[in-house]
Amino acid sequence: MATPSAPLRLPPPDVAFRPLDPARFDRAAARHLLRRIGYAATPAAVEAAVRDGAAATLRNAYGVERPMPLPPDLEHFDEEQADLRKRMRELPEAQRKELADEARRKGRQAFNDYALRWLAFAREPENSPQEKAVAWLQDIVVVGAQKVKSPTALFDYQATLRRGLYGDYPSLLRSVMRHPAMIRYLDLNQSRAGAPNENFARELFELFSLGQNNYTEQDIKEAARALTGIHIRNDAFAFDPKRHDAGEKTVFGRSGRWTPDDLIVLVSEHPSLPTFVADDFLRQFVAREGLPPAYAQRLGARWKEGGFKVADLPRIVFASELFYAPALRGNRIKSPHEYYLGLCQDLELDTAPTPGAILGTLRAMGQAFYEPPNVRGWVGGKNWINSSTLAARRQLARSLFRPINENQLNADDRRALEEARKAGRGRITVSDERLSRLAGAGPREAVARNLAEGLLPAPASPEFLAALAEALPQEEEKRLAALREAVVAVLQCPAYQLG
Amino acid sequence: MLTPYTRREFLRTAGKGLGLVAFASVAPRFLTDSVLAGAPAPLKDMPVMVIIQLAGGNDGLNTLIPFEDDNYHRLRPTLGIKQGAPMHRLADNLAFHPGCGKLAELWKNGGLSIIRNVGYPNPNRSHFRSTEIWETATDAHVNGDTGWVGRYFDAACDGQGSDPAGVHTTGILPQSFFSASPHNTFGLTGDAGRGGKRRPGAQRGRLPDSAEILATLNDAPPPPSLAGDDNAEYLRHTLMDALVTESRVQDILSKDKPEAEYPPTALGQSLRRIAALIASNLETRVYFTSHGGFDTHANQLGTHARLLTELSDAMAAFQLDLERRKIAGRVLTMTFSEFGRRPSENGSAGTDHGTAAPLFIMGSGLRNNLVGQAPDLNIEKNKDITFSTDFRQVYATILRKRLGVDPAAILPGRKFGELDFL
Repeated sequence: MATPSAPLRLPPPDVAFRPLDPARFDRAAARHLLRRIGYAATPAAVEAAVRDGAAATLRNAYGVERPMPLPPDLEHFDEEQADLRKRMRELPEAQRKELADEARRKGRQAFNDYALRWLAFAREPENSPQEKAVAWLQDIVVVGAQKVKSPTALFDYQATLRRGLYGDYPSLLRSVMRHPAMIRYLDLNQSRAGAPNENFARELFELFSLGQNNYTEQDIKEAARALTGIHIRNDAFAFDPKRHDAGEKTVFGRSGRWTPDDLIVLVSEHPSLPTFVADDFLRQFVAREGLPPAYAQRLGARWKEGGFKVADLPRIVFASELFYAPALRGNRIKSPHEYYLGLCQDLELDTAPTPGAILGTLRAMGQAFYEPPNVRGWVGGKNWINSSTLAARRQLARSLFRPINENQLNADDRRALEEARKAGRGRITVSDERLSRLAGAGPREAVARNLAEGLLPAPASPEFLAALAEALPQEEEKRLAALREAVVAVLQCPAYQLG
Repeated sequence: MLTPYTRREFLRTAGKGLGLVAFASVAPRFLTDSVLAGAPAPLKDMPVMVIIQLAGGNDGLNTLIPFEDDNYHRLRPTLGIKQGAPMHRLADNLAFHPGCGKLAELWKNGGLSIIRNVGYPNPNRSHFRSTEIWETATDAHVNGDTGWVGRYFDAACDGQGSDPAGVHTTGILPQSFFSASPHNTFGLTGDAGRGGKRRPGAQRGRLPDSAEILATLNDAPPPPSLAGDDNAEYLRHTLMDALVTESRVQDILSKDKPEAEYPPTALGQSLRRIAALIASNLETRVYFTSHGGFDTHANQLGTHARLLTELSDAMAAFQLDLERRKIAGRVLTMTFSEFGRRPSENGSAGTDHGTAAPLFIMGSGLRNNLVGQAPDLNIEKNKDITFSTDFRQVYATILRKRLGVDPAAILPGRKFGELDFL
């Protein structure tokens, strides 16, 4: 059974963030890199990474911003909703329900459409590292659809974080503070001089920048005063000096007539910020249970020297000796989004064209799009896994091998499927050809090796390979059917949940 | 906590049905940790709790009707259940909704306790958030990561049992079950136990399906580079537990014969399966099921009547089944809903989100069948009632008096006065 965890063999902190010697960037290292920065390590991508080296691969991954196109449903969404609300006001109360239902239905539809389009966008390998980093940011400066409600605000918030990835962290915090989604999510618009709401101030310190024990309750109270005056006008940030408490505040021992923007400066100059953000990054991508604190301190210091550029964190960490330490490879539990997008990439499938095919499954796996459990975001790691979420993962893997019954689709879903096909995005079931290619040629021992090497994050045990070979068909007759069952089991097995 | 019976049961299952699950390196925890657990508590005495969620916000005022209160009829001119309707009178100014005949009968026979006007301070009117508050049992301004049942698991179970500590019939793990340390939980899906499902190895010469292959793959040691890795081991154990439980549950449900007739509703069938699992001596402590559709913003009367009838009929069948199986003594059933509804009806013959509402405790040996104060309806139009019993008082009472644990470890913040229904 699991031995008590021996101290991990890691490079010491002072040299941990030196770039890995290019000579040591072999196939296994490339696979590790690709699975961590993106969702899968397909053979072609591994070849390219080995050829280009880690540094070029990372330059390419985080080079320039790749904006996500605005979903068509969102182009006129706000106007349409405003129009519906206007028409509603003109009706007697008893007759408003129909329009209210329509507004809700359209909102749900637009949100679902956005979710599907984001999945499709993130699935494209050239976008994957960026979107995985954006998901990390979304898990720090958290907002949730339940409270924000507006799909346009949510889309725009994500776009703000995407842009923020290519800028510096203090600017990102400032944009977050000024974004209607955050203003609504943490009640900044409920705050005014004389009656400050502390919600945003508290989370700004605790979750977004400094971490517990690095500020006082009094700092929060004073910061909340500095934040008064922020509100939303015409769906955009606005600052109302009349609601702002213009008096002197003392935050972190520094006194002044601080405004909201001043507060971000104070936070950025606080000595805890670099280590806090560096530690969060390392937990997300390297070791969720945390490394000895010296690593985050070291990384934070280096990050600060470079001017807090957000994308420096992945650039430094994913190139580092630390990241390639054998003890840290292949043992990170994939989030449901990562599991799904990894399946799509490994199996060469397009993401689902209809909400019914995937959004409920993501929820059942524990990660409904843009609905984190609370302001702390998803806890992640082992918390992704319980009997229900595992059952949902197993179900998902199985479903990708079963042709959908098109007669059972409703009209909307059928139309969506037809449109996807026309747009060349109709690969939603694993074809026999793909299956055969995954398996490769040779006796079943060779096929077992191909499958394990192609799909699993670490070399399989001989017993595993033997059991897999045993399950593979010998007779030609039922070859594909049996192969399908075996591949499904590999995609469901514990090792495939890791990356 | 582990019993020879369970081990035997497992070995028997493993010997026949789940033959593919060999014990090379990742046997279920009870085999690897074997007798360390010491002498088990006799199963027949182990208390079980069943939680029924009324999702959407149940209209408490039309469930337990203050039919003699003029304020009720003032606030509910069209939705109020009128005097003379076939409601079930319990006491002065208190009657069960016409659909709750069977619950009324249970109440009269001492099998049901009504806790009135239950809520919490600073009520939140979002379904999502208020459900979270009930499930995490925190103050309204606190975000909790763990659920109150999960904290009970943390306090009372060592996490080593082969049987799930909690079973739920909801598609996703209820937040109530979220715990600080891992416990085996199991999601009972809609088609479990409907019969007819083949078991692995049933046909000779048949090709193995993915579930069987998965069991053998999971049994093989992990990649050598991940030997002893915490995450890899956790995944293998959780999957192993799930596969074993799946097989056991399938087996139990396919053989079980209920001793009462259940209504053919989703809730009725969920409770039927839960009764079968309790009777089978699974070590499961808490079952969680959900009855949805209570968000009655419009045209409430018909919908609400149907939901309450389904609830009443299913609960009564469940209790009768437990009694006939002679296991009613160790099962306590509780309902909850994220909030009640606004006393004033709205313009669409419905009601909007409100605050406090009654909840039900069903079981044997209840001491008091009417607990707490009735809500005060002397309020203006569109105002909400103020709770008089905190839901955490109900939890604290069950935790100490039925589950035998100290509520202080599970309900943070302060002491919640316990109630006298147990």
